Formats: sequence, C-alpha cells, structure tokens
Amino acid sequence: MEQPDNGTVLEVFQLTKVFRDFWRRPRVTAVDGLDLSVQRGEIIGLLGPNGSGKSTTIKMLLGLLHPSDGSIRILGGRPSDVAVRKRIGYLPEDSYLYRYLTPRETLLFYGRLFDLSASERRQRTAELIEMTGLGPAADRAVGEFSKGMARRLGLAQALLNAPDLLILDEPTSGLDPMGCRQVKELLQALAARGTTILLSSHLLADVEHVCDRVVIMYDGRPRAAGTLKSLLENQERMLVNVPTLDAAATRRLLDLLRKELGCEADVSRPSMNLEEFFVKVVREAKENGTPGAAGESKMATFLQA
Amino acid sequence: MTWFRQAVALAGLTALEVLRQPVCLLLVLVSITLTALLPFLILHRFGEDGKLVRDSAFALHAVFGIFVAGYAATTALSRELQGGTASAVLSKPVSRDLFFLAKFAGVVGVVGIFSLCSGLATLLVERIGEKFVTTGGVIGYVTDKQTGVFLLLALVMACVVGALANYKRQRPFGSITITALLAGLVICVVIGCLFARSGEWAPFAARMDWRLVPVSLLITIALVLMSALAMALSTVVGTVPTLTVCSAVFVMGLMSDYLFGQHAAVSLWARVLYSILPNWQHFWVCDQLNAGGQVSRAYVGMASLYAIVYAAALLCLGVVVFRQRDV
Amino acid sequence: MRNRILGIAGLMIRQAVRSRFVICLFVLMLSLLVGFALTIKGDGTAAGRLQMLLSYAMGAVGVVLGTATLWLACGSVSSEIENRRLHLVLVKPIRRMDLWIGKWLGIVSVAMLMLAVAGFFLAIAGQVALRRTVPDSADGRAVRHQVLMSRYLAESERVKGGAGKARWELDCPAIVSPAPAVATLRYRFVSPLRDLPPVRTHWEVLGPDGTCRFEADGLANMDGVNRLDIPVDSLQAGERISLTFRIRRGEEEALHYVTFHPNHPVELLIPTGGFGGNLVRALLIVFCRVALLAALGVTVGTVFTFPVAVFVSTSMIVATLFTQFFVFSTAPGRPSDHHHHHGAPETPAWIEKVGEDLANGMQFAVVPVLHYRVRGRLAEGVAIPWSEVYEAAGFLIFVYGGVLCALACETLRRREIALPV
Repeated sequence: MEQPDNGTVLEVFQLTKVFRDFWRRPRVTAVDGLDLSVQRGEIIGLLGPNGSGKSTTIKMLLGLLHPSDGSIRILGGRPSDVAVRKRIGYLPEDSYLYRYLTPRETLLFYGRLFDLSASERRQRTAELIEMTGLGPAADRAVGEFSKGMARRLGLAQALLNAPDLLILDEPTSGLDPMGCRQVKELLQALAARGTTILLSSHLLADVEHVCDRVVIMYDGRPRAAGTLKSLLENQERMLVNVPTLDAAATRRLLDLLRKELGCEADVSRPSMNLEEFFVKVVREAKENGTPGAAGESKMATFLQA
Repeated sequence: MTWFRQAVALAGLTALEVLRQPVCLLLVLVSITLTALLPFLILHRFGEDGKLVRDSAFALHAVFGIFVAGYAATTALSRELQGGTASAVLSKPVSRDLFFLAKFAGVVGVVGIFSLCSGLATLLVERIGEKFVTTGGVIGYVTDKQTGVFLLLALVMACVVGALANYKRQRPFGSITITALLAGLVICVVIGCLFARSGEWAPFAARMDWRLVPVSLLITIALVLMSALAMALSTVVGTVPTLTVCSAVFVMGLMSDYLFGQHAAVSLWARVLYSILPNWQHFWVCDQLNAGGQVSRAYVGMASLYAIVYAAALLCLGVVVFRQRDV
Repeated sequence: MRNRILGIAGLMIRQAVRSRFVICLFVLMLSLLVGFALTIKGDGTAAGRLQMLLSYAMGAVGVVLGTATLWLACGSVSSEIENRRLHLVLVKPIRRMDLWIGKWLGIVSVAMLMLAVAGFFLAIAGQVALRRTVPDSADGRAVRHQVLMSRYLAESERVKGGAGKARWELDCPAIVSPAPAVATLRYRFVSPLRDLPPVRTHWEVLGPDGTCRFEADGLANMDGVNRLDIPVDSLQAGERISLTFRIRRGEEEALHYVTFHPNHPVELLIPTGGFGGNLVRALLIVFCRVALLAALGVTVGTVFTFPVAVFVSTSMIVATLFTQFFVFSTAPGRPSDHHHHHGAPETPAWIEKVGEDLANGMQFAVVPVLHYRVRGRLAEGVAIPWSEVYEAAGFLIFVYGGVLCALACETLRRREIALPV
C-alpha cells in the first residue's frame, strides 16, 4: 500500500471516544471531536495534562480501542489493516515486555511478528541493541531491568520494522537526561529521513525540542494547535544576539537604540537550560575517558536508508 | 486502639476486595444454585429420607468452600506481595504482624460469609427434600415446594438487587449480590420457621432440622483452618505453589487415617505425619446425622479447639516468616 | 505468516515450560506413572497387572495433561490482556487468527511432549512385562496375545439360532498377523440363576465355502466372559467366515437355560498388529482430546479474565461429562421411567418438548466429544484403527477447534483490548 500522493500520513476527523459502563451508559468522554492531519516527515506532539485523552487517541489510532464516532485514516488504510500495521512502530506508555525474555530474544520475537527474515532479524536486533546502549545487558532477563532500560528496549522494538509512522506514548518517561537527549536526537534524525512521528507527552521540554507542531488537549478536546513557532513566538519583541560587550560598549548600544529608534531595550545573557548543562557535563566527562551507562546514539544502518 | 482500627480497616478491605472479584461471585452463586437444585435433581432412595440431599449439600459446601478459601487467601497475600500493594501499605505505620493477621481476618470473613450462605441453603434444602410422611391425611413422599420457590426466588432477587444497585448507584455487582443473597437466605429461613409446608402458621422453627448446624459449623472451621494454611504458605511462595501444597495437604489429610493412622503404631514416620497433618475427617461428620443421630456440643467444642490450636500454630509460623521476608 | 505463528508458539512454549503449575503437574504425572508401576498388583497375573497399569496410567495421563493444558490455555490470552503485553503484540502486523493458532500450537506442543514421555514410559512397561514372563507359560501367552497386541474386533449379529445351536457370520480384517499370534473368541451367556454348572460346548470355524477350518470343544461358564483361542491359520485376510456353536450331546438340560447375552454380542478378536502401533494411535487420540481442551481454554480466555476463564471452562467440561448421563437417559426412543408412573402427566407438554429438544441438541453437540475412548481398548489389546484417529483429528481438532478459533477471532476483533479490565 502506497502513501497517498498528497503526503498525508494520518487523517483524523471528529474522533470521539466515550467509555461506557456495563449497561452501555456513557461514563466518560475521553476524546471529543478531535481533528488532526499529519504530513509525511512531521514530528507532531500531543500535549496535555493527565487524563486529557492523549493515550486514548493513540490507542484508537492503533486499533486497540474502537472510536465511538468519527473516522481514522492512517497510512491510507484503517487501523485494523495488517498492511497498515506493518509500517507502524509503537511505544506504549509503559513498556509491556515479557519479563523473562532477554532484550535480544524480545527483539527477535517481535521481528518474527513483523515477518522479517532470519538474517534481517539478527542484524536489526544487534544494531538496535547497540544503538539503545543495551549491549552490556543484552542477555539479562528484562524483568531485572530498571524502568529506563525497559524504556530503551521498548523504543528498540518500536523501530524494528523501520516504521514510516512512529507512535510514541511518553517516550522519555523514566529515562535519564542523557537518554532523553539521545531519544530526541534520534527522533530528529528519523524525521529527517522521512519518518512521521506522533508523540504524546506532558513533559513540555521534550516536545519543545523536537516537535514541528503540537496539539494541546484538555478534557478530551484540542484547545490549541499549530507550529511551535507560531504558538510560542512573541510578536511584540525581538532578541539581538551579539558576542559579549564590555560595559561601556553596552551603554553606547542602548543609548543608540533609545536615540535612533526611540524604544526601550535591556541586556541579559542567554543561559543554558539545565538539560543542556547536564548533557554538556556528561559529554565532557566521557571525553575524559570515564565509562558511563548510556550507550552511543549511533543510528542503526537499516534506519539510515 | 489505633491497632484495632487499623486491623478492622485492613480486614474489611481485604474481604471487600475478594468479594468484588467476579470469580468469587461465580463460586458463591454456582454453589448455592446447585444446592438449591439438589432436591429437584436427587430422588429419594432406600428410604433414607433427605440423606442424599443433605450429604450433597454439605459436599458442595466443602468443595466450593475450599476454592473460595484458597482463592481468598492467595489473593489477599500472594497477589498483594507480587503486585506491590503490600509494600505501599507497609510503608505506613502498620506493623507487619498486624497486617498479616488482619489479612487473615479478612479471609475468615469471606469464608464466613460463604459458609453462612451455604449453611442456610443446606438447612432450606433439607426441608425441601422429599420425605416420607405418615401423619395427618398424607401418606407418601412429599416435597416442600413453597420453600423451594422462596429459595430460588432469593437467588434471582439477589441478582436483581445487585444489578439494580449497579445500574442506579454504580455499586459493585459482586459484593452487593452476595450480601443480598445472604439477606434473602436469612429471610427464607425465617419464613421457613414460621410456616408449615402447606402454607399454614406453624410453631416457630419446629420444621427446621437444626441438627445440620453443627455439621455446617465444623465444615466452616475446616475451611478456616485451610485458609490459615494457605496464608502461612503465601508468606513464603507464590499463588500456584500455595494452591498446590494446599491441595496435597487436603488430600493427604483426608486420607490421613488410611495412609498414616493404621501404620502409626509401628512406624515413627507414620506417627509423626499422622500428628502433623490436619485430619479433615474430624470435620466431616454428616454421617452422624443418619437415623436421627446428632453431633454433640462437646464434639464440636473439641474439634474447634483442635482447629484453633492448629490455626494458631500456622499463623505464628506465618507471622515469623512474614517479619523476615522482603516485600 | 508461518514466521508469526511460530514466533507466538515459541513464546507460548517458553511460558509453559516456565509455569510452575505445569512443572508440578508434569512431576505429578511422572510420579503417578512410577507409583502405579511399583504398586499395582492387579489379579496377580502379569497380564492382569499390565492391563491395570495401562488403564490407570492412561486415565491419569489424560486427567493430568488435561488440567495442565486447560490451565495454560485459559491464561494464554487472558493474562496477556490483563498485563497488557498483548497491546504490543496486536499492533504488529498479525491477524487475530495467527495469535490464536500460535497460542494453541504452543500449548499442544508442550502437551505432545508430555504425552510422548508418558508413551515412552508405557512402551517400557510393556517391554518389562515381556521380559519378565516366560513366553510359553499361560501368563506369558496372555501378555503376548491378549494385552500387547492390536486386535481387530469383529462383532456380528447372529444369523441363525435354535435350541442349543447358533451361527454367526463375520468379516476378517484386511491384515491378519501370522502364526504365533492367536485370535480370541469372547462370548457371554445370560445366567438366569446363580451357580449353574459350566456347559460343554463345541465351536467350529467355517470358511466361505463351508469347509471346517477349526473346531474345538470346551467348557463355558454361565457367568462372566468366556474365551476361546482360535489359531490364525484358520482365518484369512478379507474373507467372510462363519462361526457355529452347539451344546454337546449329553447336556440336554442345559438347552433350557443357555442364552447368549443380548447386550454383549459375540466378539472375535483377530490379531492385526503389535502393541507399539496401538499405543501410538491411542496417544494420538488422547492428543486430539487435549488439543480440543487447549482450543476451548484459549477461546474462553479471550472473553474472560484468567480465574473466570478457568471456572467457566471447567464448568463446561463438567457439564459435558454430566450431559452424557442426561442425554442417554432422556434421549428419544428410550422410555423415561419417570413419566409413566403417574396417570396424568405432571409436567406440561411444552416443557417436555423443550426438554427433549434440549437433550437432542446437547447430544448432537456433546456426543462426538465423548465418543473417542481408548483406555479400555488399549488395555485389552483391541485395535484402535487409524481411521478413528483421522476421524478424531477431524472432529476434535478441525471441526470443534475451527469453530472455537472462529469464535475467538470474532471476539478479539470486537473486543477493545485496551479497555481497563
């Protein structure tokens, strides 16, 4: 099945989900009239507080829940089509993995479900294990893993089929800052290659760094949507970025602005956020030769194609 | 008295948690329905009035009771330890001993409710079952259809009440239905006490066979003992091994007289095992009711004492192990 | 597709092998087999001992294997829905049917393995019995020719009878084992009184052309089963032979009471093969039944949570086992003892009609499930034909299994897997 020519990967129209009780009476409206259209290569973020309907939306996109109303067209088909699911990668909000399998066995198992050939399975498994930094734990049972390690494995299984559409539910929950950064860099690299990514999160920093577009949901309804630039940019003010000036030069610059343009201006130093600082420190430590738990984020070859 | 309030809260929660499980409701409903149908399925034989109905009802009580007790005990502890709920509770200022014993009390509560339902149903079906009557103008086999109808009605009404409570108030179907069933059975017994088979007023409780009560009581005590064993085992191993060991102990304890009792005089091993294994035969006394016999209070007292001492020992072991283990 | 099914099946096998309950049951099965082998005495003869061992062992294997299978099957889908591992599986490009078949295949592979172990054990038990008995002793002959044998059971209706005389016709099977093997004739009388003396009898085997191939005199008891060994030389594969019986002269008073049992027809057991083949066929039929249990458990597990699924499927099995009494006592054509005692019918006609329809329906649904029994035949050395194995596989695995699979797929298709349980 080919993607539609206009490059629309996902089209959701008036999607509604009403949870009902035993007597079929409506109990909760988890998603209420969601419209969404995602183009190829986009990274789109579903934002919202707990219980805002993000996970429910994702589960409907995957066919794990049936919509009460509205329609879903995903990769040119319905969520229940086997051919559609062949091209989707999914990371659930909790990595529901088989506790007694090792990461290697887990990936080989899901590789079988994707009907990959034996050699392909082995190659992709090895590359993904390396990419997610699970190498040292590749033959330990998943049941012994920390949440972050399970998350890495969850991400690996979502990438196993080199998906065209990657759906991630809280991808960075439980990951350390280095892991978060690696995931975000990975997502950007995948998007550059043409993978469409839909991620839900309530961690705003995640979304801000990687998403082209966001939908903010509250109580099952989309409350704001658009590109990050359009949503966040302050149209009333500008920022001029220059190398550090001495005190006299700064004063002259401010005077010039006041006199020539007649507007008030102030000066401050741009600061790193904590995540950037943390990443910098750890990278420096690594360059000095101290081994760490996090793996290299070298992209798997089958994902580079 | 904080500990008492904690214990009551924990025990109540445990009982409620178990009663709300669908499988618990299924066990109760199926067992009581089968008991209620016994008089219609089993016909009189060899002039042993009501014996088959009575014995079958007791057997249903015991068999389904074992499932209820085993399920309740393992859900109460094993599952909570595996699922992490236990560690959440124990991080509060609750002592481990109290936690363990309150859990046991909750399980005893569930077993008690089940046994009460079963015991009342047994009383009723014994009354319904065919008997040979030679008094008044009637000579021949009679069944008490009126009580039978009430008993079946109680079952249906319990389900209706549970459904209504769930529909109108969003209350859990399982626990409400079981409570309603218990209430319905009590009402049936009261009606049975007031009226004769023909629907006329009768001297209170004259038509009820109260000899059945001690027999039901002894079965209940055996079930409590079984729960104590399951609880003690749950502190060490998971659900499946607990149920496996319980079944083994049940079967061996049932044949204890045959397996070990007859060799006890000659073999030390047989004597040790004969003393250690709980002997379930002490609690299965429905044969004593044959030919108008009954179970003496002294016997019930002695059997209860045996069970209490046994259960206390098991619980002590359980407490000691539970103090040591990681949660 | 094969890849996906095998992947799921492989995972199911790993789960099964890790299940403590299944390990416990496997150990229980082995200890029961060893326990039976060490303790069973039978009637004191090696043949009786072996027969009882075979019968008990097959029974125990069936029960233990059934329990293990049902337990695994009920949990296979339901527990994965409960712990949400199925979310990750069902978003992969697999069909619901792949999931069902994969799970089922995994479970039956484990059952097959356990069955193979049991079969190996029984084969050894047979060999031990052979080694321990002297071939020429009566006991040795019984072990060789009556137990460790696969014998075709030729039954026939009587074609001619008279005072103290009778004749039967029956067909020999397509294969008859060569000589040291012997065919056995089994017959019973109805005995009107206790302790009647044995009767002196004369039997003849006649070929299709009426020539006498074999004749023998014997003493027949009025109670129990009488046996007569017939050399296989007098039987030829595929032909129709006649058996004649008469009471020997000098026993005229016996004419008054000798009557063949109406419910136990005369049987001729003709050796057609060895014990090994019969054992394999018996185990295959047990396997078909276990496979049906696996299908039932997996399907019920798609609807209910694990404990409820165990309860529901166990109740269904118990109900099925009870149905046979119900069905056979109320089946049409059999007078029901109950209704004819009273002058006026107590129950309204429509209830009786509904009851009868219900009984017919149950019989239709249940009888094939209960039809395939092998325990008694294996122990008595009666052949279990391949045709029966195929039939059992067809009915139990393909027809019933197919229906259950379709039900499960439809349930999985409709069910919202991600709904909170």
